[in-house]
Amino acid sequence: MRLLIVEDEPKTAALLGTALKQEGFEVAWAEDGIKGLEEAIRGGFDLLLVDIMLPGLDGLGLVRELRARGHATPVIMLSARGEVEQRVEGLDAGADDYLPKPFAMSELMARVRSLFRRNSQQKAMVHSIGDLTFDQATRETRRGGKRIELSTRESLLLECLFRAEGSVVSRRDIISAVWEYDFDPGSNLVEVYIRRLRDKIDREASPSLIQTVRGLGYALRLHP
Amino acid sequence: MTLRRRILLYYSGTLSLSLVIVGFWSWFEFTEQRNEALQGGAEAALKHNPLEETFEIILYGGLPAILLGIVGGGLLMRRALRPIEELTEALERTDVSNLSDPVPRSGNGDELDRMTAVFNRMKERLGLSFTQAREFTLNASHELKTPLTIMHGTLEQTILRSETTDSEREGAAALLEEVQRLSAIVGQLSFLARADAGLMPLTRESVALHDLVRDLAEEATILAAGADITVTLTECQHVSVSGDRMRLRQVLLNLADNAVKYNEHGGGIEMALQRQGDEAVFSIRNTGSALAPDLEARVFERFFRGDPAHGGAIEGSGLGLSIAKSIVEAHGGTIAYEVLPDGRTQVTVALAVVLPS
Repeated sequence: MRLLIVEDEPKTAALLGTALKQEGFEVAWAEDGIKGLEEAIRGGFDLLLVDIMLPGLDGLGLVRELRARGHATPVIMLSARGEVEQRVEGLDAGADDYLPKPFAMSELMARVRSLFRRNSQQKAMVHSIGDLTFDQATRETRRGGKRIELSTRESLLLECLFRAEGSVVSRRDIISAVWEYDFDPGSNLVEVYIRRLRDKIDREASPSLIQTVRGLGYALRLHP
Repeated sequence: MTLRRRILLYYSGTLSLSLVIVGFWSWFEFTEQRNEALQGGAEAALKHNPLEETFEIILYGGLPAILLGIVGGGLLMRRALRPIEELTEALERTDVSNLSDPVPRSGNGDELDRMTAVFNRMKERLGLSFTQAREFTLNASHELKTPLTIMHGTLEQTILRSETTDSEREGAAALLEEVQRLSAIVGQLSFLARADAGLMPLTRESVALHDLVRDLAEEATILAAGADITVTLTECQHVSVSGDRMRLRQVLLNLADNAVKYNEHGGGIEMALQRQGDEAVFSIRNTGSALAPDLEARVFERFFRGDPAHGGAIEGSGLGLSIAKSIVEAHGGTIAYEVLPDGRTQVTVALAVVLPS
């Protein structure tokens, strides 16, 4: 998998590069919009990460130009500017996803994974881990064959954890997946729901599947 | 011409005119007496009583002069005071929103015109410093986002690296939590700075407020369950408003969250949504120690977190209510905070309803 980072800030670019290489990506870097566009057009990339504020040609212009030339390479936009309208602008320009700064690397990885999944059209309808199964269509949840009743929010939360395939899901990603909030609710909504879900899934069975990774978020996996 | 010169000129004019009138009447009287004396001798002159003559002069000469002085002076004063009144009205209308509109000037170069010019310059400087403060917050929060992303990413990698020891991981996680808190504050500040500049993006649609309030009551029940707080939705009338669904959910959740955080174990929360005339009124009341009366007016201030005894141990940035207020006001609504006589705290939000067309 080859990935192009278009970012003028070397530190951010280096950080993104290291994190993505660890995930097994091959990473290239362009430090301005024009070079980024040239590289992208030359092709061979599976995904572009494009900062909106760039010297030369800005990120929105880059994506517009790329799409106008018929390239369909998936693009994730990164930006420190205002959130809501820039998201709309970015998606209108032809980006596939948008991530506002400051973001967590785990969030970025989640977006990258979900984009690849979207592109490869592989959607597991029935998830399972250990003796826990979850049917995405019917929301039927079983642990050790025993049926568990979940509320809508709880099943959305479980689905969001399953989709990450064992990786850590940040609080912000949980909030946007379960409540569709584009803001930080400031309350301990996520903690409360995780506790409720644990009560139903992990209390009477072992091993505990919902794990807290302090500072990062939550993960659904068998081993820490 | 300066105002002083104008007043002086008019004053001298009125005075001269009065003198002319008095003079003319005296001349008329004296001429009459002289003619009578010439025709009838001293006898005729003597039948004139000096007191009566003086009275006549005062009555027919002085009175019109006084009337002229009063009427003219009144008109003059009105003319002279009108620009002052206009200026006062303009000053009264001045607030943060119209600092960039100058007060119209007469342009005649008098004292008041100069004062207006000075006032306009002051308004301009004030406006500039407001803009600068706003832009500073916006730029500062913008500039902080990139370093925060880098800090966040670096700490994340430290935590996830297998060679990190447990104690290092513990330290990195503690730092990461602080970075996240800082990120949240930066995000809220940039939201407020944008709202102040009138840049809050609102996607307006007709929003069924009763649905949002019902969802909220459910969410609040779950949030409050840990502290044995009872949540009741006393009334939920069907009412729709024109607004941004996401932002309205943000306001409601913030109010419910406060009602839980500033409550007491085993306390209660009451919510109600009513239609009152052309307004949809949402109110939320909670038990728990109320704010001291002298602090009530400050709850919507930025970074206000109550007195230390009240909110010291409660997590939060102190920006939640400021944000709620800015959202409600961007929707043209009002938000009010009060402590009820029974000691409960109440927040009321009023928004204009959408009338079925």
